[in-house]
Amino acid sequence: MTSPAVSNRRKRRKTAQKGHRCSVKSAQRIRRPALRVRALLVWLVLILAMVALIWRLAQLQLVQGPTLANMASQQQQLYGLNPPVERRPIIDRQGNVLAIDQVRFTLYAHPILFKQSPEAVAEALGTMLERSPASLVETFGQQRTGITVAKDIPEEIAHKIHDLKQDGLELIPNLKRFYPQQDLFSEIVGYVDLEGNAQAGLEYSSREQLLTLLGRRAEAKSTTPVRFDPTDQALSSDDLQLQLTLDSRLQRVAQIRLRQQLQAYGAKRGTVMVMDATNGALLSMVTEPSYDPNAYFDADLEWIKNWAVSDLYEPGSTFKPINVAIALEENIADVDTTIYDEGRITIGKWPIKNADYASAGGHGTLTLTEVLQYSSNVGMVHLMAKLDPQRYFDWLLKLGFGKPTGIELPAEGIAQLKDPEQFVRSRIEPATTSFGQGFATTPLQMLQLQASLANGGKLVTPHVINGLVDSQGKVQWQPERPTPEQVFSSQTATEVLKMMEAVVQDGTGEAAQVPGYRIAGKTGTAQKALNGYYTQERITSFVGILPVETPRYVVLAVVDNPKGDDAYGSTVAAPIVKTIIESLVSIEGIPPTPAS
Amino acid sequence: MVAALKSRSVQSGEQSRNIREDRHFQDQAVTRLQTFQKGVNAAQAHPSRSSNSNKVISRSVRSQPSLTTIAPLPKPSPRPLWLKLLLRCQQGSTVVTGTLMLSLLAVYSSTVSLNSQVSQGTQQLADFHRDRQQLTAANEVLKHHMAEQAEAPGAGLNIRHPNSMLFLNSSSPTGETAHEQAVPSPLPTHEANALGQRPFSPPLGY
Repeated sequence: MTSPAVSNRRKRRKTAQKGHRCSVKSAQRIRRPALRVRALLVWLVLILAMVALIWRLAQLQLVQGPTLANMASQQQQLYGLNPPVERRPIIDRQGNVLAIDQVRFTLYAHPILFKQSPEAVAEALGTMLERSPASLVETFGQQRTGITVAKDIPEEIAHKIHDLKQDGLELIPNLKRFYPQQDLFSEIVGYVDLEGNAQAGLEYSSREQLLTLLGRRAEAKSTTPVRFDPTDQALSSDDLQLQLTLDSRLQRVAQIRLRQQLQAYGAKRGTVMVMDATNGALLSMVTEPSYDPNAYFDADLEWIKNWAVSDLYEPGSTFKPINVAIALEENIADVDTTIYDEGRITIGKWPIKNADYASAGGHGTLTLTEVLQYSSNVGMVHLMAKLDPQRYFDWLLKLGFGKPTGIELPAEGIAQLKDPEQFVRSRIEPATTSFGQGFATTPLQMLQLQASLANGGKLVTPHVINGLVDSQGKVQWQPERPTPEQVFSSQTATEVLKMMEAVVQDGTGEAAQVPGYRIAGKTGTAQKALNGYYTQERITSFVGILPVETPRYVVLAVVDNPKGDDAYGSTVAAPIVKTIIESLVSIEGIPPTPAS
Repeated sequence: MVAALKSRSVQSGEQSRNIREDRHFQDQAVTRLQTFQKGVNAAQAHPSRSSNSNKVISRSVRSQPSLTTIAPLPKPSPRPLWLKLLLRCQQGSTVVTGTLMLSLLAVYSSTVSLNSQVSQGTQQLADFHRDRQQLTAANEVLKHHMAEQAEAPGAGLNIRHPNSMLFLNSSSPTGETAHEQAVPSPLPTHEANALGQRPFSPPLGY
């Protein structure tokens, strides 16, 4: 008797033996369906896995893509403590920096996030901020978050605070404009206020050139980006600087001398300008009193404006050479023309007399040169009376009255002329205009007109900007300026200049003589009008042009309301011009005039 | 030749016999072992029947059939072309996938490290810019301060004046006179002027 297990094994063995005998094909035929099902299952599983992967990939890439990319960039990129520069520096023609961006920090405290006690935090901060820990603890107690602890923190202290790695302290960077030259260039450069808005000068009028791409973006968004994105072109090195035509050495000399004269004569204000007449570039432009743009909030509003550009004044006798040039151009006179000077005349009901009438009386017959030498008002009235008033008015328009000069500085004043009909009809208007009264212009426009005598009769555009230069000193951008208009012939300009030279050699401008140099000049002492009436207040001026043989530089000094009986253009303004010329020839290397 | 063939057939006959005997022996041994195992099991279950176990073994040895032929293993049929192609494809794609994976990892890691390197570089550059700005500002403040000090009455410094300047004639382009003209004037301008001499002529190109 055998057990069932044994019999089963036998059966299996028999079957196996039978199987061996069976052909391979038959065995395959038996197994194929099972294999197929299994393969199909594996294939299905793989396909499902692939579909799942594709689905997930699409979800990551398309749905969550931007969020994840942002997260990745946050992890991979560094956060800078410093925001990049937004305003380009301003430099003078030698490269001295006049305005530059500086980073300042504001420290905020959030006591709710402090990991240490407020006392410990105050202890650590106290030494850096130079404040007592007790006062800091009191500050921390004001509210739970968002306490402004300190403003205007310099960068090195901000880095020390940052290195404390204290939770609950937040440093927010902001850019502050710094003016290392203080009040030396304030009337030209202007200032940027604490909110980052340009308020005056070139900072305001040339902000397009001063703002970097980043600055423009920040201004548009009113936010300061602090993250460094290497792919951002705006953060690439922008080494451009706004270069001016001004020379800080000459500027300093002009400022010192002007201050001395203002103080000596108790004058209200003054301005000194030096122009290169060949192209209209200003080498110096000083107005006094000035202000420190780093502390603009302490400045008087009157000081902030550049009055040489914005305010009008009656130029007085410095306008006489221009009238002589008009007369020569119109052929109503030539260099040999003589004019009789009675010393005092009456036009309609208005008396007109020379400034020295009380002491010298009438000068008698004068040449044009002598008219300028004595600064004869009567002589000028007689000369310009020969010109048709309408024609005279057209000349004034041609010289640019009623139009801005085109300087880059903001708020330029526009010269005011009388109504054309009134000018033509009334005899007194052309008469007063002939000696520089009865109309008003800016000191800058006077400088431009005088420059036309120095450069052969061209009306150049006065300017202070040379252009945007890179760190190698290469000019990358220059403002486009109109082609100078020829208003006088070069012969006329030369003849007038010779007459003006006589004024300095032997006339009212002797105070501006510099030994060895040929200087042309003209004094001006005008009465100031107030509410339509002339007052006892004066505005004195002097214009100097040098060197006469190859005229190039024009120096104009205007002093408003100097006190004293001897306060004239010759005593107040001419000495200023003399000092400026002395420095100018040293700085520019102008050699003395050779003996003829 | 015939003798050699015969001896080979004899050998092969002996071999086959030996194989058969071996196989027979193996089967017998297996069966005996199985039966013995059974007997042991049975004896463990019914110790009184252990005496019959020898008989069972001897009987089973006698009844074992002897194998005379061996079925050859089926030869693997040659793989069809499509299968070969598929296998090649699979091998190829495995290599490609591996390479792609490695290059992907390399590219990804390089992008991450490059990004962070560029970021660090930019930060450093910005710091340098900042330092330069600070130094420039400090330098300008210093210059301004010095200029202000120079303005003080007791400083002993004067504003530039033409009298303290010396102007030299430019050298002539012709060799002979160049030597003479290049000799600097022994007297400063004001002294020369004081002596009534005007040794200066306009420089070239002015």
